[in-house]
Amino acid sequence: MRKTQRMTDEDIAKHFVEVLRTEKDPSDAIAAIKTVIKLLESDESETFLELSRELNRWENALRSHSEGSVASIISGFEQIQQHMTKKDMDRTDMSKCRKFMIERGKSYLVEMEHRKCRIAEELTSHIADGMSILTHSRSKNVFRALKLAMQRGKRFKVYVTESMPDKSGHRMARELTELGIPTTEILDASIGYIMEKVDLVLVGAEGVVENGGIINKDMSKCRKFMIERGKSYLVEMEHRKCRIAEELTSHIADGMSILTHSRSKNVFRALKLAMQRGKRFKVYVTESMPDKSGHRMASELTELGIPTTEILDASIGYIMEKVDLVLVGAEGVVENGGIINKVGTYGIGLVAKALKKPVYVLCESFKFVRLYPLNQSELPAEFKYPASVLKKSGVNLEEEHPLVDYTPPHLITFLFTDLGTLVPSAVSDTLIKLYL
Amino acid sequence: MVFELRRVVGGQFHPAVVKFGLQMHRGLLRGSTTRVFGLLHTLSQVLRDYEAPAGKELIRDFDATVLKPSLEFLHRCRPLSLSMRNTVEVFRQTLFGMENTQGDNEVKLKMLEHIADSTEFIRLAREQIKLTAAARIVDEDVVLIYGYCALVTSIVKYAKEHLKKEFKVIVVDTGPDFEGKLSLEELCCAGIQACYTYITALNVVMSKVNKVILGADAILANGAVKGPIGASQVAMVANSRNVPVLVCCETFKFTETVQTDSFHFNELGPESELLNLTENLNLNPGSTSAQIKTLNLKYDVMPGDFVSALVTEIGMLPCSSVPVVTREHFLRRA
Repeated sequence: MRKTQRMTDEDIAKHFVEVLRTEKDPSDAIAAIKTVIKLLESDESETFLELSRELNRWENALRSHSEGSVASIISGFEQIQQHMTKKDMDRTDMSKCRKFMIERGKSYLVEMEHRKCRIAEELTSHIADGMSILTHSRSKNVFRALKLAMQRGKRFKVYVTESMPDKSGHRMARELTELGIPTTEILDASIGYIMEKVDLVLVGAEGVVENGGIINKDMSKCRKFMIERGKSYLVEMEHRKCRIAEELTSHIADGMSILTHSRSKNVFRALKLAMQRGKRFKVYVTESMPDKSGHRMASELTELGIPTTEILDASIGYIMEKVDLVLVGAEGVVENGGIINKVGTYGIGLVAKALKKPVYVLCESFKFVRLYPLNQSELPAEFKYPASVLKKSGVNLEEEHPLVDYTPPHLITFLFTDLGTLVPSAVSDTLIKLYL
Repeated sequence: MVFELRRVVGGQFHPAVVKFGLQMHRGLLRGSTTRVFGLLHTLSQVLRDYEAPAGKELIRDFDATVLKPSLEFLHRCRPLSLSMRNTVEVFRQTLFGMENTQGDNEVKLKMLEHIADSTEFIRLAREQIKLTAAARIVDEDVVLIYGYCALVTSIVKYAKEHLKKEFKVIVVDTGPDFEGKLSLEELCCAGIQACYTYITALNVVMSKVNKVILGADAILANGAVKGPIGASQVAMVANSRNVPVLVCCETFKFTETVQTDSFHFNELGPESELLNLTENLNLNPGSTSAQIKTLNLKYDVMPGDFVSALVTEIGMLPCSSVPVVTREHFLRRA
């Protein structure tokens, strides 16, 4: 006998939301499994084939109609299907079959509950006293593990990325602080900056793909302002600046995708010139929190008629494979040819290096400074924090978001300056001739 | 030993040369800068006592009959280090640059002045490097040093005694000389908290380190650093853990030679330093000592990639800038 009313996709999604709401903080995969069990209880399929189709339909419904993480839902469904439909099942009597599946599903949930503790248990032994741990966004497993480690008397420090757009890292940071774990919330763009202080990176995963890679959240960052740099350009500099743009244009080819970070006048001028010369290319601009300067850059480029996409700071890793060229400005060029630029540049440099994309820096030679930072922590505080923060008494600078980071020379391909196109080591040569 | 060498090289040597040669041979002069000071001192004594024979030109005669054989003698006592060769090169360049100077006495005076200037220049350079490098040490640092380098210990001591920084030092040492013990003694006198270990534990201690400070015998034109044997290993392990490596070196040690491996130019220490065949080994009666070879190298070459910065008297530089500095120096002398 055919079932009279088939559950609509919306109803299924509602079930899922209901589970998420009533259960205390389940992961999306577990909620999906629970939804399946619930749906099975009211299911009236008569053949096994029909039931399989129903399962597929539920899965698709959850994927398209719920806010849950798709990767988690898919993995939850796959696990439960594997578990429920073992070979030893009697497939002739459907009511027995359903009952059997529901039992299997429930036992799986119990087992999972037990296993979750084991994850935390296993991790605890890897956390040593005095460690700094970086984690991204909010993950229940990571939280549980850190909580257990804390209970076992381990003393450690946690950096949590803010994780835009949903700011889930903010909640994670708050929860960890409530537990008494020293926690600092950082911008998504600061990961490069903070990495040298970190001993261990802990991330949860929404899904683990077959080659062992993980799918996790695409993220981003927060508020705070940047000191507006009032620069009065001299006429000569005005002229020289044009040379930078001029030199770069020949490196931009038709059909290129260009990634740029934040807002840089030099980059803007160069792209504008290339556009005027009839080059057709596409630009990705990072949003560049905390001041959203990339947003302005993107709208300015769009006004010029250049196809521009604004991306999250956290998605540089995602976008990099599509990019042919990375263009950034610089606030300062240090002695070894590295640059100091808006926070996030280092991260972009690292990703670009990993994916073997050229990184071009556009800047005037008056930005060369006699400074030789060895790592991020050696950047002088006045470079990293706005004056308003430094003036305040009793400020723990560790808790402040840095505004700039240091990108070492090995991540930079060329520097386009008014002196010509330089490799990073040529910066030091220029300075030696100047000062020796 | 001296007589044997004299026979090989031929000729009579100034007592200062013989003395310096023996000091080098017996390993009494520790560190390449000390030997450069020794060399300059010896040259000044030799030059002071030299009188050009009648009818001979001072510059050419001194170079051919005194300087060359003396250096040959010294080289046989202990191979001249790259920094010593540099010093000799500059000395000869200055000497031949005086061909237009009138009067032998005038030439001698000017050359003695040059030696005094060079000595003073090296001393000031080391002073400046000490100030620059010590300023990079901050509170709570863990600094790793390797073996013994007078310049490096002076930097660490300065950071503690004058800049009042609170930090720890890990002294990494190795045989056959175990010179790190000297460093340890000096650090203890300065009241610095120190940890002493062998190079075998390098990888273990490196996780705690946030700065490595090394000395160097020479910096080659390709940016590679020639340091005491084992230093390149220290730099490599530091590099693998992203620990910045500072190499402290006066610019007079920058050379125009290029070396990519440690075998091209090196110095072999005596076999007995490593192994005494009759005492240390329990050999079968049938086996001979010819079967066993020891490798007691004194230097190795670390690629410039491992070095975060060279600390020199003209500031901190990337290794890639070495040729620029040598070229500028050369232009200035010319």
